[in-house]
Amino acid sequence: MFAGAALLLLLFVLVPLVVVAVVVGTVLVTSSRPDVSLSSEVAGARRHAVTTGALSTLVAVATPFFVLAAFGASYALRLSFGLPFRPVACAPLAGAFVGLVVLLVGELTWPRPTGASRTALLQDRSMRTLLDSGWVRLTVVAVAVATVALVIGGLVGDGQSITHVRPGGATSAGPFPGWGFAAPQLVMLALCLGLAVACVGATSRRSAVVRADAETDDLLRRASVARVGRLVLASALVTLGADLFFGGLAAQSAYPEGGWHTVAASVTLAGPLLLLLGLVALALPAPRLPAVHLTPTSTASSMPA
Amino acid sequence: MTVAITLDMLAATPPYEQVRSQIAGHIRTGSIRTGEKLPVVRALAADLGVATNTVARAYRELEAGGLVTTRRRVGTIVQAPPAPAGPALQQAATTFVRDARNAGLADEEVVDLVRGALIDLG
Repeated sequence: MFAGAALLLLLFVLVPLVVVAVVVGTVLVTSSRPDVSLSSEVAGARRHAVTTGALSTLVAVATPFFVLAAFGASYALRLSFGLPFRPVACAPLAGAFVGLVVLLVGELTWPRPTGASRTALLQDRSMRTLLDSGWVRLTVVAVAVATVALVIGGLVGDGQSITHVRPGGATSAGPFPGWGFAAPQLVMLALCLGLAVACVGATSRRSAVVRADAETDDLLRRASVARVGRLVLASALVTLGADLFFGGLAAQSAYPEGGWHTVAASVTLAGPLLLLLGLVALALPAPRLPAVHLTPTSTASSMPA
Repeated sequence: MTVAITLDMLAATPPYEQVRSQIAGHIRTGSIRTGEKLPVVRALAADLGVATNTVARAYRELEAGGLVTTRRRVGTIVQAPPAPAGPALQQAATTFVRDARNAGLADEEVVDLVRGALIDLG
């Protein structure tokens, strides 16, 4: 039974991810701006950011599969021994956590100014200004919705299942995101949020790119914040989608008829949609330098002496 | 506020003094206006690739000179210069610097010229 569910989940995850990645990759390659139009420092900083971002996405996607492979293969054996199935339920958030660690390392190793002559713009920047972005707002909404859903699941569920007590007896079905799943997921979500805040703090404190104007530097910082938000948003949506899907299926079994059955069926349908949205979010590109921007010469001359 | 400061790490003038004098110059010429907030010490130090103590000392000197004030949880805010240079004086300074550069003087030599004049006038 689990092998089938795991295959279904893999198909749910892999196929849309590959399709979206191919589409986004094609768009990015055809519209990419060559490094030759940028100053060497800006091009180097962009390469650093893009490489780190790609690596973080890669490990964020790969980690859940490693978790699935490590724990999923022996799921039946583990279940028979009564061991919880929590690691797999936390796999997407674990992926985001590892990806955020990569992003944090990338921020801490951001290229520093070198050379005898160094220029800095006297501009005040803070975390608050960086947090004012669409990615952050979407992430906050997704995390809030996921938190509410997990708390509701924990309150409604019965550990890792849901039980419907009727006059004629009780029906229990699972897996359901009760506290058995919701609690570790909430802990992982909190850890991801903490790491995300650390990443944004590091982004606000990192050195400005040498010979980059204020606009370019701000764009590079916003792109870094978008990469952080993208990971948290995607993992929250995928976790929420999987919880709603499996929770909805369990609730349909526990409530074979009536209004709650309809609600459970709706929740089951909403799950894959949210999961797909999460994968789309993961594949969306961060803000990029405009295709036609400042040339190296004008970049240098735009800096006040 | 989009003004910039440039450090010459090979110059004889200490980095903190370069930071202090350039920010003071921007304040006195009005490039940075009263009430504007300077970058936090760590951010400016990171941008310039210097130790935070270097920028912190420059800010302390600016505060001692009455050009900025540092408030906890607010940051370093630019104050009105104690003796603001009027538009005529600023224009005269600009004209002087332009003439000196046209005469082939480097910026350090222009500053030396002003220092010499200050010494001559006592």
